[in-house]
Amino acid sequence: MRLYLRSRGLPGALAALLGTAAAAAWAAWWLVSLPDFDHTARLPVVVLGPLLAAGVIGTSLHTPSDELDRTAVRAWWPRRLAHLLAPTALAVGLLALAVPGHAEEFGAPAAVRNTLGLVGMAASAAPLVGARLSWLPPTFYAGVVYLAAPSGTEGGAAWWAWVTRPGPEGEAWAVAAVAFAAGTALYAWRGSRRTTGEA
Amino acid sequence: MTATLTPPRADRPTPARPPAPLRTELRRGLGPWTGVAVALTVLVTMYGKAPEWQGRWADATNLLHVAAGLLCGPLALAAGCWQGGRDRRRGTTELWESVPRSPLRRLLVAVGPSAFWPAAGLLFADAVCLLATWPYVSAGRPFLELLAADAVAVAALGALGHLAGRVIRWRLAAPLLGIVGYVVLGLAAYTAGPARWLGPAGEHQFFWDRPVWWFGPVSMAWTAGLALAALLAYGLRPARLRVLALIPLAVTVGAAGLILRLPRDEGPWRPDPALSRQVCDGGTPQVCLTAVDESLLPDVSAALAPLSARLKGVPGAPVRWVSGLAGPALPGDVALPSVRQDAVRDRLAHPDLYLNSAVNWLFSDSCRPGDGTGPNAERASTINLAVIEWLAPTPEGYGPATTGAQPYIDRLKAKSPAEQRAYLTRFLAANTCRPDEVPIP
Repeated sequence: MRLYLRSRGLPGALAALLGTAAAAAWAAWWLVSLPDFDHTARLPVVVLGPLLAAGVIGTSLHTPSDELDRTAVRAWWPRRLAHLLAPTALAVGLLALAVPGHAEEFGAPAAVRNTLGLVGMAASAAPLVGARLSWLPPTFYAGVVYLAAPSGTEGGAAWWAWVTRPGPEGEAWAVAAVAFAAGTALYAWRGSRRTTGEA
Repeated sequence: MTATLTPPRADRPTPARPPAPLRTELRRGLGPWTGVAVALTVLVTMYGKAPEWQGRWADATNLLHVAAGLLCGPLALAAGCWQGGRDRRRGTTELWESVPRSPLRRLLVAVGPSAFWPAAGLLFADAVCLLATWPYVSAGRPFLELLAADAVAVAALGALGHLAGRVIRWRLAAPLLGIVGYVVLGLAAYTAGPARWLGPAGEHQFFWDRPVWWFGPVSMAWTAGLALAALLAYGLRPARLRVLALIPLAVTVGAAGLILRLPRDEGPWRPDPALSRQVCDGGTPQVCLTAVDESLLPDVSAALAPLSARLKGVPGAPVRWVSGLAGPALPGDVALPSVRQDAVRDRLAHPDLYLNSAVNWLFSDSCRPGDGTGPNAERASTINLAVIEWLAPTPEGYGPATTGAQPYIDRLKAKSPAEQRAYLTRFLAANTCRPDEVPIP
């Protein structure tokens, strides 16, 4: 177990998740303390915090000994599932604590939803482009919708710009949940893509 | 006679020339995808906000500038960082060391895709958006020098990200650099003071301004010099040659010094009289917009026509409706609300809503503290609402409920035209800040 954890760099990933949550908590507090801002200014925190957490978890899915792993007698999918779910649960808990209060806007529910959805995107990307580049699709998606999203729900924004929506919106939750479920299933089934020649 | 057999002449096959290393680098790896991602990021952002920018060059340029700095800059940083760590991930660093090319030349070839593709993607998206703006603008020009400066800034960020990827041996370096880029560039955009003009996402929303001529080139020198200094400091061998990096560094410092000396609030932006020039129609009262909104003049005139007809000849009625920077300049001028807020491209999207806003502005007096109080204050407010609703009903779904004002509206509608004109004369003469002066219909 220890060898597995170290070979995937999971201690470093867990430290990075703690650092991400601490930075998110400080940024949320600082933004709200600014004279002209209120709790609605925490949108960047509930987008960028989960985005970094997704990057941390996604890159931790890289295996340095893929071919050797595939010769194992035991099935890998339970380990892959545990590997994805355990850090995700930690990230969800930490980021929910980082943005206390105002659940109706950009509080804990929005942070939890975005963490699940963006981790799901990164997990989906790992079998397709490799774990080490799995941060790119969620980063690209968040960058595209961040300014493009309208302030209201017109044009189906709750569906396509779910990462920028307030916490309680059901449509945004549905997309995030589907992204997480699909990403988890795909990664548990296929594992990360073998990136030949890349250490 | 014997014939000598000579072998038929055959042209020697031309040896296939290997493609230039830079060309190969540009076509492989993450570079082209970064260009596509940058172009898509800008185009999707601009598409979602098309009504806000597709009528003025200043709006289009400003939003392109913000999207470039705030979204494409971090993406270029992260993608460059990933590209920079490629040789280390593949274990080909030593192989590259054996190539008979100078380290700087190898570095510049490797950096090429990280710098070129984000800039190319951005320029492509800029071109698409400017072409989409062109048919609907009335005056001015696109600030191409600022868009070029944005492309240079994004290329510089890609190059700096590439260097970071070479130096930092950490798998989280690329995503972390991207997110730090979002935070830093976003904070720089909101900073008060001249330092915000150093950041590539500093926003400026003023339709009648143009930048000073040197701002674009100096911004390019600032960002390109910074990246070039870093590249020379990293790539020049032997170490004594690294002193050459001081040349672009000096250019960078000089350019930054010029930008930091700009005025605190307006930065490089100066009023352009050609853009704020008033353009009027031939109606009575005249409707005057600024040159940048000239294409909206027919729609605004048509929207205000029913009100103009009703107010024609009424003492105290507007002589000119004016919009723009200067506001009412002559006696009888009345300010118009901003036309661009209700416009989509070169059309007024909701003429009835614009008319309602114009009537609201017409009857809005500048009250002092303590005005608008007293026993008749509520009645005066209701009458004010009734007159506005009578002249220009609020479209469904906008504005306050008019139930309380309905009796007054009915009374106004029931009056004869002469009585209506007489009432309007008295209403326009009254100061609505003093409730006792507001006449009851």
